[in-house]
Amino acid sequence: MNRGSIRAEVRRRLGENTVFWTDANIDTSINEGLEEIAEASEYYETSESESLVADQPVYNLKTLLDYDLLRITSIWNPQRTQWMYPTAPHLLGRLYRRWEAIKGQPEAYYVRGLWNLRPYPKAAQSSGTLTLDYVAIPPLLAADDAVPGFPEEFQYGLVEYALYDLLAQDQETAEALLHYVEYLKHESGLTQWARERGNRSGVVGAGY
Amino acid sequence: MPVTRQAFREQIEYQIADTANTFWSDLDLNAYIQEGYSLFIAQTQLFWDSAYLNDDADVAVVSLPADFWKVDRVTWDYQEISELTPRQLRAHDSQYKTLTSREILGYLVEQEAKNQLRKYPVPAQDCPTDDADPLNTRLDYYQRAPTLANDASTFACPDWCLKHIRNWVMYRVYSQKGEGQDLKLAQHFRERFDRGVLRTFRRLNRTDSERTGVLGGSATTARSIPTPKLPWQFGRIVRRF
Repeated sequence: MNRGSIRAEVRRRLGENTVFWTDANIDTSINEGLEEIAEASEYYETSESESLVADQPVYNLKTLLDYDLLRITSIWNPQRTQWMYPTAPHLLGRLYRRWEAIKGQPEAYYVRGLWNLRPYPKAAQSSGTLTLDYVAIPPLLAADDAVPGFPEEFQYGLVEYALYDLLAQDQETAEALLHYVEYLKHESGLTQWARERGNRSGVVGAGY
Repeated sequence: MPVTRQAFREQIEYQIADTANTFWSDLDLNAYIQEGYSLFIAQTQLFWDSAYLNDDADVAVVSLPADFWKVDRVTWDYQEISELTPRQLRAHDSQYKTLTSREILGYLVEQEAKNQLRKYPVPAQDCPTDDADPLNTRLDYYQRAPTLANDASTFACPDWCLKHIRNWVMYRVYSQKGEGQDLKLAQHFRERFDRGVLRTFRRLNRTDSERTGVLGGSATTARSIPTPKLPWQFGRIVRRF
């Protein structure tokens, strides 16, 4: 379904023409639903490269990753050809109290707040990059032929959310809340799909 | 793109069908917006920063940054130092308020005035250079939400956070006594706000606990060294017959 067909479905279910709810109203509600379902399910994954800077303990990712970042999922260090592992300051402190003074190729990381990434150890030289994999809010549907980037089975969740939002604005409370409950079912379905996209039943070399 | 307070308020006025401010004034809405913003940022710990509390000789109590909300870590010479309670300090050293030393071993926030921190011991000399010097007390902390002083002020959080703040405003708007009151909708938006806060907080803290897998084995995680223990018979009288 694209934005145009989602909007048409919303109009059909509302029994509305363009008199009361304009196309712009409905599109705003659809995009709000997309933002809500993307934040809850974390289905949209992407990646960026960050350059290493010598002696820099904390990297502020606000400029690099813009305002759509939800969280970092993993970081690849191409210099070491290894994934960095998530850690915490109290774990690093157990190994060596003055861990902040150590320099080298980063092998672990932790994040503070939304944007503040701290690799360990801090880079000794201003060369090399880190590849950051993260989940984010996807681009909103800007045209009628724009398609949400998740399976069509869950796209009716956007219809339900738009219905809920528009009816809540009209203070049709009971009906709005019924649509919200339906939306939540699609949200939880998409969340489960996003987490279990891979098949974990057979893992090479592991004794699970 | 950062959203201004005015644009955000106008979106809300459109949603509650009160663009003429018949039932809810701009003043009310601005107060609810600031309230929701402050609550959301404080509860999710979204904003974080680092500042140096420059060591000055014989000055133990320093002011914390104006946007301070909660301590994350305090370090001196690259080492994390512990928060102490007045009781611990009194038991350890009755002269903790006057004892001086080059090295800072701990800090105290509890008894001090709002937004002040006491270093222990009292610094014996000035730090070599202000700010980015390891021989200087550094504070990593979570920040409060900035004040939206006027309609041109912008939100410092991402756009996806604004719907959670809007949920709070809707809760307050529909709770307000008057013709526009709708307690069922108010409860619904309050639940949405609480769920959004919990989800955001858990997401931000999830990074610490995730494990990455490696084919053929699992990634090693940092292990703690064994805690030193005294011999079992320490302090006892052991008799062998």
